[in-house]
Amino acid sequence: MNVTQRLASRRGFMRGVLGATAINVALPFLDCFLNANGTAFADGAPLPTRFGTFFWGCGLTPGRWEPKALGANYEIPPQLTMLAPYKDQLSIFSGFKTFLDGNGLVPHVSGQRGIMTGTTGKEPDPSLDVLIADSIGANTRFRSLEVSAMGNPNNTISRRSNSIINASEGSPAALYARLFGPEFRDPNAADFKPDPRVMAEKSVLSAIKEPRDSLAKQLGAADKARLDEYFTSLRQIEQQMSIALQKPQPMAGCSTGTKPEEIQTGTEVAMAAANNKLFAQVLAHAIACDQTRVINVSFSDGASSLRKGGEPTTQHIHTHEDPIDDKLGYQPGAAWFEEQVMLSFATLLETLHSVKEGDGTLLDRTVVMALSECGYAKQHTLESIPIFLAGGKASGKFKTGIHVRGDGEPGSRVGLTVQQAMGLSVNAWGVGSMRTARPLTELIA
Amino acid sequence: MTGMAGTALWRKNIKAGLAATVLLASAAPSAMAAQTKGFVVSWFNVAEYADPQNRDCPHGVNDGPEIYYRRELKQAGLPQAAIDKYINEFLDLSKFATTIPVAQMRGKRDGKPADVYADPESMPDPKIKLVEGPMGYGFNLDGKVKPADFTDPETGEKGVDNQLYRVIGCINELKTHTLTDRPPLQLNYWNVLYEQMPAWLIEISGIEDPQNSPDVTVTITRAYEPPTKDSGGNVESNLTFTSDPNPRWHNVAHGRIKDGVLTTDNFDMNMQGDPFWIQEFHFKEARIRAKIDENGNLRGFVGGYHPWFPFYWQYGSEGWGVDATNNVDLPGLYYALKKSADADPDPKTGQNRMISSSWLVEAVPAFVTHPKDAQQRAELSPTMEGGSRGK
Amino acid sequence: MASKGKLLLAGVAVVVVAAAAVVFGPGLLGGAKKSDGIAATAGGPTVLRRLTQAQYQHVIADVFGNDIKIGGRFEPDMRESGLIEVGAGKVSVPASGLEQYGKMARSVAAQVFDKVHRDTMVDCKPASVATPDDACAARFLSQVGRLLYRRPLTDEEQKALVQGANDAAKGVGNFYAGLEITLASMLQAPQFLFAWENARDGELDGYSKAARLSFFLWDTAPDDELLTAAAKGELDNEKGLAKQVDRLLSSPRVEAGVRAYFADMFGFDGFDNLSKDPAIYPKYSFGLATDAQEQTLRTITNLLLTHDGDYRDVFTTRDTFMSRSLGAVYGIPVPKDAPGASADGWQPYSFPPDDPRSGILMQVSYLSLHSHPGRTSPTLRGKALRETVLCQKVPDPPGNVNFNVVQDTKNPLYKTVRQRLEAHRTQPTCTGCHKMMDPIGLSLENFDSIGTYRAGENGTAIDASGEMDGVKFANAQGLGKAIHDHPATTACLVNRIYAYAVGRTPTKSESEWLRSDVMKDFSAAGYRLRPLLREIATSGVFFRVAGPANDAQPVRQASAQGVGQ
Repeated sequence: MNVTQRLASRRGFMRGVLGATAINVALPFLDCFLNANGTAFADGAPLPTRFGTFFWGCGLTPGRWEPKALGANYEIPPQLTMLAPYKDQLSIFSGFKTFLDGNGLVPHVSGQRGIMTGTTGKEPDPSLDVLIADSIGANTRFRSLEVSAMGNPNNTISRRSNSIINASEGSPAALYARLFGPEFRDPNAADFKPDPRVMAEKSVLSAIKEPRDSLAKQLGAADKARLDEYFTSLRQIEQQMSIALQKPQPMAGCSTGTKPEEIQTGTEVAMAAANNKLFAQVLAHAIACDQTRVINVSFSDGASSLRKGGEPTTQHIHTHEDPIDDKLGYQPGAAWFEEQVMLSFATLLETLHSVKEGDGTLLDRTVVMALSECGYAKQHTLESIPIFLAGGKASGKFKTGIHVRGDGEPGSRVGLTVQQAMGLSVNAWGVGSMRTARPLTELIA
Repeated sequence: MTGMAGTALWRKNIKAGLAATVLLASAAPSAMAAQTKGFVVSWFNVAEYADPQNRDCPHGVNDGPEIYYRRELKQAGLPQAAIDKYINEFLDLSKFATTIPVAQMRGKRDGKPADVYADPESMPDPKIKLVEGPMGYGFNLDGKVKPADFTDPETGEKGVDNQLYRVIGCINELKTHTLTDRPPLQLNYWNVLYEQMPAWLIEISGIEDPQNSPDVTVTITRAYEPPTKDSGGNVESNLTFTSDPNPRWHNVAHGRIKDGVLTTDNFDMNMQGDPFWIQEFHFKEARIRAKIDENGNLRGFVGGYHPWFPFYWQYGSEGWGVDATNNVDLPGLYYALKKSADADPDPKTGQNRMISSSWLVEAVPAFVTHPKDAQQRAELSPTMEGGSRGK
Repeated sequence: MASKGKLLLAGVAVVVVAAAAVVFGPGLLGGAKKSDGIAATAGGPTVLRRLTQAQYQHVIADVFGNDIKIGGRFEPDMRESGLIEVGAGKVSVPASGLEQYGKMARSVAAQVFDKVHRDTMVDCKPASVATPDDACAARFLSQVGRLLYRRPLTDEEQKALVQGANDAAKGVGNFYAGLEITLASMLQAPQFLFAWENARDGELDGYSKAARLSFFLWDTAPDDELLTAAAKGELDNEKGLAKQVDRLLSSPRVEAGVRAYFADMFGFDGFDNLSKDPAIYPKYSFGLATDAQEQTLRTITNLLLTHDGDYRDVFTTRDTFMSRSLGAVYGIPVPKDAPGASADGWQPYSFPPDDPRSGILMQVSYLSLHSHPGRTSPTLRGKALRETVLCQKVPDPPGNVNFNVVQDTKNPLYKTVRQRLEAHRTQPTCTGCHKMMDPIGLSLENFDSIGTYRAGENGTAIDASGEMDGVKFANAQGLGKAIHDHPATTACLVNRIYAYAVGRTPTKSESEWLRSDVMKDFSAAGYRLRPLLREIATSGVFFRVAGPANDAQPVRQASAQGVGQ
């Protein structure tokens, strides 16, 4: 039996398959994303684009974080004033939700899971940071780095599957030791050995150019022009491969910094904020030295156990029990925590912004997706879960600094857009009502 | 109630159901073909009234755990230093886990620490605050107008018996704070269960005129399918559900619609809940009052006597998580239920085993279908996986 | 096993033909054969078509199995002259697209050579896993190459691929990794990504015929049997061609082909970009949209294939299929134990005679696809009907149009869409075109933006009367009947399905042939689909090639091991 017969015997009826695949997609937007010219140094070497997440529990106060206007130049909303310095690199996504589709609500988890994995089912797909890390972080020393500002390894939103969960590092000092200990090799000093597999791929791919002339001879003028376009594209791909086979560009922003001191971790907001700041510094060094291209910061747990120093009531309890202040129209106690969280988010952005790289900063080449797990924590709603995209200005991949309203659409649209912006080969993502083939065209650069 | 009675009721209803089907199928030979309306329940919880004049809890709501732990540990005989240490650790959430056993074992039985969640009477009654206001939703279940009874704010009915509201209506996490609010802890429970608990179905048959029909039948059953939320975040309407013919959860009440208001005669209502909530509901002398609005949605009340212990146990079984983080002093809840129970005295002790209650029910239109035979039922029945659930 | 000589003979006389865009004179390369009994019909140019997303997926599943995952972003398909399949003949592959094809190719190849699949895919063993083995590599590459390139590899191609596999195996130190890398490169090659059509003596060569037939009827590449028939020259004679066409048409896989055509014709790719305002239409979700398309495709294949019905009845039939979520929109129960209900929740359903719905235009798919997110649009519905069902072109609106009246759904003066549109139409520049569209779409006003039935709007009863090309009707049922009886309905199908089959709009002489001979036969056959497909596929015209000649050079083909065994 040869392969033809064997392969033929593998065929089944197409009925079921067709139902799922007969839908075609129009994504003109992606050409902008994937324009290879926008992602390279002037000399042609690609500059790494990085991705990060910043997660916190218990959402924000509805009505206080959504800008009134859509698009660019929105007015910074009251709960986000500390992010004003990064407004031109801060996109805000309001009105995006998680659909449960009959999967039970796991409070303070489901909302985040839907946005990060595109499903709330029992067997979630990999979270999008993992998908992105598989693509952009495959050749770095650490595919991704996870940290918990509260020092709790269980605080993480990164997972490949139910059984492979990327636990968080709780101590900035320990993270520093992992990164810059004896195994650290300075990228600017390292010897370079090209990947034999990429070499082989390039050589074999070049072979498909061989019959070019004989192929072209069969064609009329218009089809010949189309074939020429194809071969022009192929040349560009070969060039990209050549770059990957050269010694990488020195990491201009790389320095190891100093090892942070051990500090106390816990549920107090001030401790988490201090820890977050140290983590941000270590992570910035890690990114600048290209030890990783994907970072995940969990500021708090989903049912946030953050509390004010000396007080017992957690943020979570505040959201459920605080009365709504008649004059303010919201829960001031809960709102205080939310502002502390946003301050720490600003710290992360500030730290990335402080490291110069080329003619920009690390923040300019790092897309940080910040998200929570519910819309209105008082009622565990999954409508309008806060999602932000910060940084990435210089990646040339999408517009930054705009407000997009989802009007009840699945939050997976943000995740799909981010994946495409990071160059992943994906045209539809998510399961059931979380499935989407529509990236946010508002972000077209 | 005996099994025989239940079975007989069930059989009678099958015949009624078949008759109705035949009638509908034969396409209105009579001028007044009766209609059946189906619904899927979108909310079911104790009906609580948030008095705009603040008469419900004139002395404020009940204390939080820091205060009642301090008080109750003192009663338990702990030295002040130990109490202070406990409270400090309890407040320090990095250490709170170590304090769980202290709170849990704050009872005394035979001179030894006892688990107050499993054995609330191992501790003296902390006497939590109860509702004192004059208004409360529900029905006059016993036909008497007693001084402590409520007046229903919607119907003006006097002598309303709703002792369950009296017990929980001043506990911060279990009370409603505005007229349209949901009680927070119940809402959380409900949201968790919402899309995974088999739905509850209501059918009203014999409707000749939606405003006035003197003779209607209300059937309440369980579905094989859970309810589903739509893109707007509400329970989706007009979906098809398969009614579970299990006679244990098949409830039939006779009623009428007058001026658009549905009321029923008394009936016993048994429903399967969820292990996470109240495992089984068993109402005695239940009755319904409901209205269908212009969108076809149903809102109303189910009143009746219900065993009080399962109501306690939905929280008691959670123990410390409810007691310490949701402001429900569990032994206090237990004693309040026991004291407030007003029906079904134990023949030996005289202690009432049931409590008057009224429950708010909301439902959206649905198609209720009935599997035809046992074999199909077996095929259609979904496998009910336990699955892990967080609160 | 086909002899080398025969294969060479089949491949020698490759004629280069014109591209779609090139204007050609009729009859230049007439090539009409007396044997097909059709008056001299010139045929048309060949087209280099990029595989559509669905075709790519079908081919991978056919060649390597359904369990190979294709998790990639495809180059956007382009719609041209009403069809993606025509747009496929106009598009190329930009660098970003090739990068994506590369990622998909590496992912597919990695799965083919993973532990689960490798030994069922490669039916020889290398002498050593760590080193190249040209014989085994050649065997695998020629077998797979024939299926992926839809013809045997040329000697030149085969030599280059085997050498590539050899180099790669050396570089990486593993025979299978070398094959994997080589397979990935084939999946990025133009021979695979484009469907090639080569001509000789005024018609397609055997392999090009096989590909055109297979993509037309099955929406996938030719199978082994069809390639073998092509190699033996069986597609060049009437009897052999008829045998293969009948085989394709009688296979259950023809359903995939018919579904692909109607999904293309009705523009179902538009659902990927469709959204509804959840505050107004909370029942709309991606799941509902998927079911809506499925319902329409099931309705069509049930009528046209299962029951061999009259195409015109697609617009009047009351027989359809229902899912639970569709039931919630249609307002009908979908009992699990209904007769014919399948485990996946679908069940046959017939709208009763007094129900306002019949035909696919009154289904959720059509009604929701041609509406705005928050309101209906008789104009869009009318326009889509003219363009997709009747093949008529409606001009684009002029600039500087004031839409305020139409968009204000709460205007107390104009409570219904009809009133708002009438107010809008008083603007003289708009009247002409709106007259073509609105009276059609207004008859569907009883169905809202996602297809739910409504008797009134803003408290005013809906007047669903309408008119199309002189035929007046009282409601949507009347519209369905009018389309059923409209001569353009069947003519449009004939024209468009031919365009779909050849990947370009029909030439003048082809159009004449379609209008006369094919329409006559279609009518005589009771407007049944299978006879129409068969007539097109077995006609000589279908393979006839006309266009300005180029400097034709023969492409020598290798004696691949997989052929004809």
